[in-house]
Amino acid sequence: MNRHGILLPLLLLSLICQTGCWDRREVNEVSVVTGMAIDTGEEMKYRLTVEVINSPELNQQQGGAAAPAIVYWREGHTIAELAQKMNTGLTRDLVFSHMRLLVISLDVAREGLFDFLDYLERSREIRNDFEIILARKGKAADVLQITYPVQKVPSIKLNTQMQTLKREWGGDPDIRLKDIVNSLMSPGREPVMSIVKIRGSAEEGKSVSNMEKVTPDALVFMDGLAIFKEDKYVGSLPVEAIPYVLLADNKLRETVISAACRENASERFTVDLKDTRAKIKMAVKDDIPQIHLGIEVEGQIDGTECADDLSKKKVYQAYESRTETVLAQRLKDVIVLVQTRYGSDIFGFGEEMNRQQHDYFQRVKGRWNIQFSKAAVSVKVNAKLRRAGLVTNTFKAVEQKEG
Amino acid sequence: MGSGERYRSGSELPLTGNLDECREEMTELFGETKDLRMEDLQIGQKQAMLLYLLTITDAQLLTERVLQPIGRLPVEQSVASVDEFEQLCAKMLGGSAHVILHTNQDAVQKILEGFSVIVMEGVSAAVAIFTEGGGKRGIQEPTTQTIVKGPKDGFVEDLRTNLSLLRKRIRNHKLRIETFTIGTDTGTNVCLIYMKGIANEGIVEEARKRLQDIRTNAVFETGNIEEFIADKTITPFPTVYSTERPDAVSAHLVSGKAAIVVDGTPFVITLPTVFNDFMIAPEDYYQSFMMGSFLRLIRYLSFMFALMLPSLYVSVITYHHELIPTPLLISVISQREGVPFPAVVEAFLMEVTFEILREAGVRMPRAVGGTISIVGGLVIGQAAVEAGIISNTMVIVVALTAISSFVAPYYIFSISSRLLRFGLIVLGGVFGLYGVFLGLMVMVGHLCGLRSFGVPYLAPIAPFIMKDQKDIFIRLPVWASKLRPQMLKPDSAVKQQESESPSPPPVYPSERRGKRKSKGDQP
Repeated sequence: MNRHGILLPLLLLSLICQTGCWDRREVNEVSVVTGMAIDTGEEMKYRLTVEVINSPELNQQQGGAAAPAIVYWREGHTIAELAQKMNTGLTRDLVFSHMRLLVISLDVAREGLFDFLDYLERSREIRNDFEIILARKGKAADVLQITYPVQKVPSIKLNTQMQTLKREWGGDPDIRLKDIVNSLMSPGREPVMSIVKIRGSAEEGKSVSNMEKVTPDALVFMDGLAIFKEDKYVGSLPVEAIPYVLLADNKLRETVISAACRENASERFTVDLKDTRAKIKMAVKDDIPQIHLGIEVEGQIDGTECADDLSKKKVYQAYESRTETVLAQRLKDVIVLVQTRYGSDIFGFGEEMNRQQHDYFQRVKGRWNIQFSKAAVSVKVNAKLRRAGLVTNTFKAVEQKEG
Repeated sequence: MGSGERYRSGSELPLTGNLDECREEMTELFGETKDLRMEDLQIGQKQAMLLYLLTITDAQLLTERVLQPIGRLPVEQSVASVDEFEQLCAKMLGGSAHVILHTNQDAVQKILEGFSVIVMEGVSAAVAIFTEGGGKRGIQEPTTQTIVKGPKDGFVEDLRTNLSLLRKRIRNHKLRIETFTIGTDTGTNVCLIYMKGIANEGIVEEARKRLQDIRTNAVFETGNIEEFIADKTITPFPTVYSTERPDAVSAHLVSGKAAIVVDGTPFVITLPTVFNDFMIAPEDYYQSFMMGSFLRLIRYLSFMFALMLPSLYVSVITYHHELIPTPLLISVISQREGVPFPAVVEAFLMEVTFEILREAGVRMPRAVGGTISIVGGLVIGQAAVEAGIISNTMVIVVALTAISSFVAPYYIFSISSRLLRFGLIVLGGVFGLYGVFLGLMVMVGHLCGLRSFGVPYLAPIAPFIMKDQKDIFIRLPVWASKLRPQMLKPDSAVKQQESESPSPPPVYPSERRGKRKSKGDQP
C-alpha cells in the first residue's frame, strides 16, 4: 500500500512529460477547412484556395443571409508551405481534419500530381479519404465558391452529390486520396478522377443570391472522367462512360441502361441494374493479354415503350438477351476507346493480371500500358431480369391483347 | 449475547434487596432526571419498588404486563429467597418477556433499554419486564428506493419492527440474529443477521469480530457502523450495501450475505458487497427477465455516462476535432461561437452549479421546493445560454450526465461517479482522451484492489467466475440459476436443484379426452 502511495503520484507526474497532447485548441478558436482548390499560380507555382466554414451561418437558429463559407487564396511554391500561410488572410487556426474535397485545375493536373500529393499524404491532420476532383474550364477555386441552397457549403454539397450519384447511377468513381496514391503506386492501374464543370456564370454563382433562385445562376455538375497516365492528365471520358468503367473494375453498385426492344427498333425499354458483378479472367496468348470479362447483372424493368406481353417468359428472355448484347457492346466500346485513344489502364486490369498471370505480368510490368492497349478484350454478359415494377403489362399491351 | 465497549453504569455489586440502598444508588446514577420513576409497590406481604423511564415506556404495556399481574396476586403471598422470587415471576409474568437480574449494573442497563424493573425487599434479585414504548413511525414506502412492482414496505427507525419485517419474509429457523450494544455514550443496539448454513461462516465471523472491535461513543446510523467495519481503504466506492428495502435485505440474506440492523435508522447494511450489487434493483427480479436484463444494461451505460460524458466531451472538443462527424462539429462550433471560456472551465462551471443545485434541492425545506427548479433550471440554465456564457451542447451534456447519475438503483453509489467525474474532466482538459483513459485505467486498477469482507470488489468479473455470470450483466430466468453467488463462497452452494420452466403439455388433456369420447359415441 505504501509503495503504491508513492508510485501512483509519480506515475501521474510522469504524464506531464508526455507533451503529445498539448496542442489544445478549442473548437471556437479554429476554422474548419472543408475544401481546398489547387490552381497554377500567376507568379509562383501554385495558388491554393481554402474554403473554411462560417459556422454561425450554418446554425439552425441564428443562420441567415450571410455567406456560409469563406474562401481565401494565396500563391506559393509548395502546397505544404501555403497551407500554413493561410492565416495571412484568415483569423483562426485552420483545422484540416474535416476536409471533404480537393479540386484540382486542369493545368495542375497536366503538370502532374506528385508534387503536392506527398504533402497531403504526409500531413498528420489531413485524412486520406477526401474526394479529389478535377475542374474543367476556369479556375478550380471557382468550384469552391458556387453556392447551393440545400447543402450551403460548396464542398459539402459536391461531396454529397458525388456520393448520391455513385449510389444511384454509378456515375462517380468515388476517388479518394488513398485511391489516387494506390493507383500511382500500382504498376497495373492508372488513376482516374471525376471532372466537374460550372453551368452558368461562375461570377454570379459566387454570391449568396445564387441560393435564392429556383434555377441557380451557377451550378456545379459532373462532366466526365479524367484519365491519367502516371500522375499526369491525358484525357477524359464522358460521364455516360463512368458506370462502364466501374463495371469493368467490379465497383459498380447500381446503374440504369436502356436498349431498343428489338434490333433496329425505335422503341426502347429501360432496365435498372441492381446487382452487378464482374468476373475478370486473364490469359496470355502470343504475348498478348487476353481479357475475358464475365458480367453478371440482375435487374428490373423500369419502363418500356413497346407493346410486348410482359406476362410471357419469352418476352423476358428476349429483353434479357437484348440487355446482354447492348451492355456487352457498350462496355467493350468504352474499354476499346480507352485502349486505343489513351493507352492507360484505368480499369486495374494489370492488378488482376498480376494476380492471375503473375510471371507474365512481372515480365511486362514496365510496359504494361502498351500491353494493355494491345490486349484482346472479350465481354460476356449474363443478365437476369427479375421483376417489372407494380404493373405486369403496359396499358399498350393490354389494349392490343383485348382489341 | 455479545456486548461491545460500553460505559457500564452502576456497581458490579449484586443486588442486596435493600430498597433504600437501591433507591440511593439509582438517584446517584440518574440524578434529578425527570423521567425516571421509582414507585413503591406492595407485592403480597413485601415492599417492592418499580423502576422505569417514563419517556420510553408504554403505559398500557406497563399496566397489562406488570401492574395487573401484581394486583391479581393473593395478599398473603410472600417471597423470601431468590428461588421463590424466580418462581413467582415465572407464574406472574409468564408470557411477557422478562429477565431475572442479579446486579445493579444489569438493572440500569435494562431500564435504559425500556424495561420496567421490579426490586423486592429482601430479595437479592430483580426482574425486568419488557415495556418499551415511545414514538414510532409506521411502516411506509421507502423514500430512497422506490419501485413500481414489488413490496412497498420499508424499514423504519425501530429495531424490533425492522427485525420483524425480516423474520416475516424469511420463515426459516436458520435465520440468526445476534445483538451487540455499541456506543459508549448511546448504547445503541445493533443486530447482526445471517442465515446459518448458507452464509459463509468465515465472513460472519469476520463481521462479528469487526462489530465487537468498534470503539466509538455514538451510533445513530448504519453509516457510523459502515466506516468502522469497511475494509481499510480510501475509496469513493461504497463497500457495503445499505438499503431501506426489507425484500432486498432478505434476498441478500438468502444468497449468503450478512446484514446489520441498527436501532434508530431505517437503513440496513448488507455485506459483503461487490460492484455489481449496485447495478441491481430489486425490481429486476419482479418483472420479466428480459426487461430486467435490459434495464441492467441501461444502468451500466448510464453509470458510464455519469462518469465520463463531460470529460469525453471536453477532450473531444479541445483536442480531437477529427473524431466528431463534420455536421456535428459545425453545429458545435456555431453554438460555441462567442463562449468566453475554454470547454474545461465551462464544464467545471456547469458541473459545480449542478452539484450546488442538487445539494440545495436535498437540504432545503420542502415548502420552497419549487424555487430551486425555477432558479436553477430557468435562471441559471437558460439565462447562461442566452447570455452566451455557456454553450447549448454543454447544457445538454451536463443534463444528460445529471440524469444518468440518478439512474443508479442505489442512490449512494452515484457518489463515486460524481466525485470521479471532476477528476476526469481535469484529465480530459489537460491530456485529452489520453488523460481520460489513463484516469479510467487507474480507476479500474483501484477497483480491482478493493475488497469487501474478503470478497474482491469486481467479482465475479475479475476474478472471473463463470457460474455467477447468469445474474450479472443480464438476468437469466429465475429457474436458470441454480446456484447461490459463488463469489460469496456460501456454505450451501445450491439454491434450487430441480428447477425448470414447465413446457406445455402436448395437447390439452381434457380436450383430447373429450374429443375421443364424442367420436366413440357416435356410431
